[in-house]
Amino acid sequence: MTDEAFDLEAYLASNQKLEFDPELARETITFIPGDPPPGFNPTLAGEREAKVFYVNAILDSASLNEAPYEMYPFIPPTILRWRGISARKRADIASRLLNSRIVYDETHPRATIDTNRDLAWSRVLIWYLVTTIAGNVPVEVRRDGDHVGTTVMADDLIRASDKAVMSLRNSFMTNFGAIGMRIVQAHMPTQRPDLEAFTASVTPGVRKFIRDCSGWSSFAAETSERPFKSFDLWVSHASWLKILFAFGKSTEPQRSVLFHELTKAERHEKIVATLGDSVVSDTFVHPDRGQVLRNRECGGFILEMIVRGFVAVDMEAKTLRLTDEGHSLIAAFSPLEESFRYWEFIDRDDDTVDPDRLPSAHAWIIEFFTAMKKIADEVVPNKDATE
Amino acid sequence: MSSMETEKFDLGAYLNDFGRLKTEEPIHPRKRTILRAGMPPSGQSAFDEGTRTLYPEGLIIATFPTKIPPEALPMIVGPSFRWRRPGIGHRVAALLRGSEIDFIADPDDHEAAWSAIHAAYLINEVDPNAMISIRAGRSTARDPRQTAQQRVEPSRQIPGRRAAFPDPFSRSYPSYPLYQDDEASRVVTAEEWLAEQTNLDRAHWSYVTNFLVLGLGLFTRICKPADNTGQILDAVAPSIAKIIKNELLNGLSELAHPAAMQRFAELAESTEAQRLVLFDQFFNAKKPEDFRPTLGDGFICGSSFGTDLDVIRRARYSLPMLSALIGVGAVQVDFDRRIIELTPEGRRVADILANCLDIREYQTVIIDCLAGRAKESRLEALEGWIIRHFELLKLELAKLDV
Repeated sequence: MTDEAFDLEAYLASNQKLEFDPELARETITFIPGDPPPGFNPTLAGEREAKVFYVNAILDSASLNEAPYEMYPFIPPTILRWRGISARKRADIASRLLNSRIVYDETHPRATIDTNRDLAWSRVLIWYLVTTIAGNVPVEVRRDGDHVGTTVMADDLIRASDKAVMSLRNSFMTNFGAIGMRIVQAHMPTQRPDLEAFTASVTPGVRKFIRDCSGWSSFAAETSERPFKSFDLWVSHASWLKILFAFGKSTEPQRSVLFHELTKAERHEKIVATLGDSVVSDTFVHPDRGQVLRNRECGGFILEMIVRGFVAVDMEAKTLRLTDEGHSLIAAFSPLEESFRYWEFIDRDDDTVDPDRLPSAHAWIIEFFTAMKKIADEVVPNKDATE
Repeated sequence: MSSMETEKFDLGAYLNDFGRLKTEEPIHPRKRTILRAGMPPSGQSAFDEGTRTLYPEGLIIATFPTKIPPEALPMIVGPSFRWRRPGIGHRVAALLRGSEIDFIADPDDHEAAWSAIHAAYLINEVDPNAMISIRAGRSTARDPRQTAQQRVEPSRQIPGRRAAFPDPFSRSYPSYPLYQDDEASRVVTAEEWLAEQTNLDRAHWSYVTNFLVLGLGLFTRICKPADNTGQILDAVAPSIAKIIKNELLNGLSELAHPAAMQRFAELAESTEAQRLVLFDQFFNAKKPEDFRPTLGDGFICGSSFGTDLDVIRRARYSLPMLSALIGVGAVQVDFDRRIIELTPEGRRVADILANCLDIREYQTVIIDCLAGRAKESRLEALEGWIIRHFELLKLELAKLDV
């Protein structure tokens, strides 16, 4: 009985083979959330078994502001861009993504994240990176609390609500980068503010940020024709406009504390601001909606406004104030303040957008920027249209 | 307590004896003894005979004469301490007597004034004529958990009640000036040094003592303790829960700090937006230093002001103080509306306190003083403010009886 059941041929055939699992020989490429510490490049040295990359050092937001002005406003697809890394490095990352086993490790000891919001952003970055280059391939994910990694398809790295918030964010930044920036640049002072005393009074971390801002900003009479600059990403973020409006409603005690924060914080991310009654302790709050959006990191936006000359530092009185240009910029945007509904679409608890609300968010984007374009056309008449 | 009992109580003898640090006589040969600001580093003793290094904050602890009958209040009392460990007194005294004494503190140390009163009191008790050289130097790592413990009445506190409060801003804040502008060090007698600090410390001890008897009475008579403390503890981060738990269980003492009443007054005047954020911060803070609420226009991102807006002081104990206000039932957490606000009883207390001079008048002077901006006359005037404040509070308490 036993002899009849035993398949000798199959037995011998299988023993003739030298079996192996090709997956075991595949290289692993590991991505971790956060930015590299100062002095590190995006690739971590000393990892023998796998290449490890900081995903935040690879990709960044993109503002699609180079299309003909007449095309705006429109709803763009979600788009990110390489973040200033060399062509060779891009090719290296892409090649490894196509040929390696991909791991996204939030538990890695060198991962650098401060808040859940940072983590959510890193997840968006890895989702975009993998799906754009390698497609919907398996990714091993290691998250806090997981004993072992779980494998998911790349497209499932983030939720539909994360994709929806990316779409809203990208749409706002794209249109503000083209339309809003015209208004911003038209109100910028022609000369850089003298920040020597202020810069000397801040910590090295904040000083570096101010230096970076100053390097990116331009004060010549450049208008919408000037090439894309990464610094505009700060201005194009919906937080910037929110904080600008809030600064206009801030009280003297609030600005005094803000001055203190700016001069004492180790890094701009650590600055906490209260401005009026809609930005409270670095939280965007709307009592009627019961909406509370925490950790908005207002400090970077305020510093950016200082560098651009919309907010002045009064070193003697140890406070901040709007410059004349800042006042007139707020006045220019003020017809839009009531209809600035961006934050209504953001969910309170996890900083996402309900996918069901995305169509109405997109409709609002078109409506809002159509109105903004009218203001922009009054401030800076479109050259093509006037000729 | 009846007037009969008041007559029996020998207040003079009580106060005269209160806070005496009793010591014995042995004398060492004259050597240099160093007193350092702050608490000893972890694993190190506050009393190291080998290196003749003492940490006064680790040796003595503030105490308040709360057995004074309410009839005798309000009154002004001076600072008082007791030994932290029984039986150590004679050894400390032996080391200090006949020594050349150095007190070393970092001039930028946020809590240097608190260390200084410990040191001055300790040395003065042993030998009022002892000469002390006050020198600037790097303080050893201060353990904020330990220093925080001594800000409140010790008889009501539990060891290890707070998690650490590492404060990246602490060095940026002005501290009570230990030195004159033009000197890096100076020499004074213990008696002189203690006298220098008297006005500030008398104000603090007087406020706390009067409040522990009269102020707490107001809260406990009107408010009902919170009944959802379990839900609150379940909803916060573990490190925060530890702090809150201690305050909820033993919270009354924290209320005696004038800053707690300042927070209470500010919360009463806060906007709904601020209270929504207060809830959010309370339940999402991972560390105490993450808790930096804004209440009204006088407490912004966890900082409050002196007389001028450029005198800004970070309030580092808002979280336990708010927890204490919740524990006593003056403030409530509404989970459905995701808001922290005054209870109806708390609102009544706030209205009563509003009739008793504004605590922010007092706190403004203290903040100015800690920044080296207040003249002595303003500090002296605080004693009158304290008496008037608690007289009015006593009248309000009498109305409750009626």
